[in-house]
Amino acid sequence: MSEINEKEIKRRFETISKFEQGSEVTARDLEKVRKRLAEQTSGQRPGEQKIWRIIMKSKITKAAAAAVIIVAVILGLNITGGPDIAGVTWAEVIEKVEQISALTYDMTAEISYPENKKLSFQSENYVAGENGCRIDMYMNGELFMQKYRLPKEKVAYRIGPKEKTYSRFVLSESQAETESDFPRQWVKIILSEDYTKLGRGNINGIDVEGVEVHNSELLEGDEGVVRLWVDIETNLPVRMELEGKMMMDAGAKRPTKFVMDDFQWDVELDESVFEPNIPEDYRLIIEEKLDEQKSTQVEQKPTRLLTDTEKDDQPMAKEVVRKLLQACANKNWDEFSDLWPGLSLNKMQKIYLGGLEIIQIGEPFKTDDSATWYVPYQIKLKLGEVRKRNLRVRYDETTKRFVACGGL
Amino acid sequence: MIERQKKILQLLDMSGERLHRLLARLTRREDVVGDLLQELFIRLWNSKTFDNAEDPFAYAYRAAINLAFEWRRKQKARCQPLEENCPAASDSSSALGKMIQAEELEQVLNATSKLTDLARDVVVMRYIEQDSYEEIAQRLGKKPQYMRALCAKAMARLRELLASEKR
Repeated sequence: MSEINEKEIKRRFETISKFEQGSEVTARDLEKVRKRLAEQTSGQRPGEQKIWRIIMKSKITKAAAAAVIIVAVILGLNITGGPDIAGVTWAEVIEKVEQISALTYDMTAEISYPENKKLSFQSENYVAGENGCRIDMYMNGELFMQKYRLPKEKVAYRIGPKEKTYSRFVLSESQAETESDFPRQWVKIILSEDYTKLGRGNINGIDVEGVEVHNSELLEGDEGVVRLWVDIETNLPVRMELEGKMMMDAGAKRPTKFVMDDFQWDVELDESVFEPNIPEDYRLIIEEKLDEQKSTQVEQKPTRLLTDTEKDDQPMAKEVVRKLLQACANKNWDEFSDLWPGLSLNKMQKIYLGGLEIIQIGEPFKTDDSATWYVPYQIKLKLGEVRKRNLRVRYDETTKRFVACGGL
Repeated sequence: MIERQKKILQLLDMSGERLHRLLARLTRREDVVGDLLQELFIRLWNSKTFDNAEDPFAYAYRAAINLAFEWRRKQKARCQPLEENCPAASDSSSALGKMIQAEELEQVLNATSKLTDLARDVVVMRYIEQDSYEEIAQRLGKKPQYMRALCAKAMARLRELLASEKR
């Protein structure tokens, strides 16, 4: 066999592309389709007829079928029979996506602006648990950003091919463990809500069943709808859509649409997919440890003894943390902003933190003479992750109160 | 529903032949193409989302690719090549040559079935149907440059897949 290079692959495709079937065979097959469609029009669907004939042969089944029909008529249900009997087992969808170790999908985001202007970008996404995740983002067909998140190496990269720049971020233990797997998070949230079944559909030849949720938690108080379409054969998602008017910039709500599709569940992803391979001529513009890493480091420093005044302040520092975490638990983002001035959470962060459960809040401590307090806390996020960190709190001289300033 | 029926019959008249040819190329089985074509049109007939398709041909085209690869996945027995219809390769005058060529074509199609759905569709449109990047982009509602980049990556992945199979 010849060497398998690109030329050889193209040669093979070319051979396949030269195939032309005889016109008689084509005409015969097209005629068969016409006949079949004519049967559909007249309501005679051979497959269905056969099923009903078999069912109606049995006397017992006949009685049962009659009862079902009566109930269905009373309730106004639509019995279509045949292929519609089997459907998506919704309870199994979450279970199935949880078992998947690697997936790929595409995402399209489109934001509409006045005068019919639109901003859209597409991304190819690779997710493989502890091997990491990678996002290639395109705008106007051009690759404008790549993001890598590599939990094993505890590092993340953001690469700008156009500017030939990159940033490197060191991840803490818990950040490395945090999943950044939107499809699975979306599926869990949608199916935990009060969804409406949309019935059957077909997406690119795949028979699907859909559900939708109006004003889902994913929209964070904005108006809109989220839809999930699942393959009836595999019980795996085929497409997810989020459509609505969402707060995007400068307080303006913009019609926005996110679509995730072209899912490949449980694919084999080579490790090379997660190698950033940054060219030598790319300039490093940011290299930093993220906030939580700083606070973890601080935790390792010895705590210092508190003065009497500080001992008096200790309960207030703790109370700010309790209120802040409680605000997340209640999804009270106004309260959150009040307790943490200057921090604006984005939608995904709100989804991530909203509804959390407080496990424990420890005693505030200090490590140096700065105004910063460290308050140990342990929480359980709605998506299951247990997070144990120190929240940073300081006394704000301007407003004369304690406020949060890092470590969430 | 009547609108959908009209749309489908029109599609059959205008593009039935092309869809038939596509299925034949992807399955390389004369005996199954007719059934798959029927299956394709029945799926479209029952598809609510087809009603909203801006480009019915593009929708059907992708559905046909998906159907053909679905068939390939389910196929346990080896495909019988349409030998008499395949153009002869330089060394395929002998029975052995034909067998080797058929094997090679099966390998590349099976490797293509392992690509992501989008990459697979783009590869089929580009290299088997020989569409331009502009046509592919229009059909898939994406940008030509993105299609080009995706094709290059898909080709690299195909090389890996075929090389690993060879080992």
